[in-house]
Amino acid sequence: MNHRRFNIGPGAASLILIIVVLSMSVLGVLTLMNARSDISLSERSLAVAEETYELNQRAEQAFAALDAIAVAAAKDSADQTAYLAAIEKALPEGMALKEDIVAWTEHGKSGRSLACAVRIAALGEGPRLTWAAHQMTVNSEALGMEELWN
Amino acid sequence: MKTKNINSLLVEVLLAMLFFALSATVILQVFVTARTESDRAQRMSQVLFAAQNLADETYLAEHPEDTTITLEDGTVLTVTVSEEMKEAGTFRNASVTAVDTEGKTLLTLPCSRYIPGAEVVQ
Repeated sequence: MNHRRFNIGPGAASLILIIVVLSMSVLGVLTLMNARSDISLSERSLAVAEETYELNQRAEQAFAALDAIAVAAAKDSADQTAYLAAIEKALPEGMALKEDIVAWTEHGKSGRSLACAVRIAALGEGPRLTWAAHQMTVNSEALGMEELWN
Repeated sequence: MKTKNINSLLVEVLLAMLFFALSATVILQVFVTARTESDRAQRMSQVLFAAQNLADETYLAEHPEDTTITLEDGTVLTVTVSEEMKEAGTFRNASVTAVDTEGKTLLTLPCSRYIPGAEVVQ
């Protein structure tokens, strides 16, 4: 019988060890990078949610201010034209009246903004105001998304 | 000569084992850190999900009340509600705050709502 002997020469154990340690190190670093990106994504999600709800809050405050203006305008107006003219005159900065819709935009800190529009009902009809648009828009330049994609 | 070879192999294996033990200690710490961070990210996502649910429920509720909810991981969600009478309606100030077990505020979601008065001004 022809027996072939397999000898482990000096250095083989060290070589295997280096391969194992290197593999484990690479896996460990990849796992850590993955976890860090998870944390970063979660923190970003929290910030986006907070900003979105903050913008909604400001839109509600503007809606309340507009309703007060509509009530005050209705008291002094005889017809629909005078009513809308009185509302337009009393609108705060940033709001614009076009036909029977008041539109404005709430701007967030990180490039997000909420485009709002409210329809004004005819004089004497209720509800006085109804939401016509409530749309979140994202300014990709301000968020640095262009650089991210490039 | 054979004894000398066996001794050098033994020394090499011992050194390899020592090196492996040291490396494993460091690498294990890296894995533990990764696991801790991954858990934290998962908890943050769960807190955000729960807080958003609570904020939307509060916004839509007719008569929301101050509430405190404790999540499985110990994070406390607190809903605070107050009403402010305006000229033409009621402004309901509400917010959901999430505080972790260490007392750190994770997030605050305002969910206020303006409720116009029902009267129609002629």
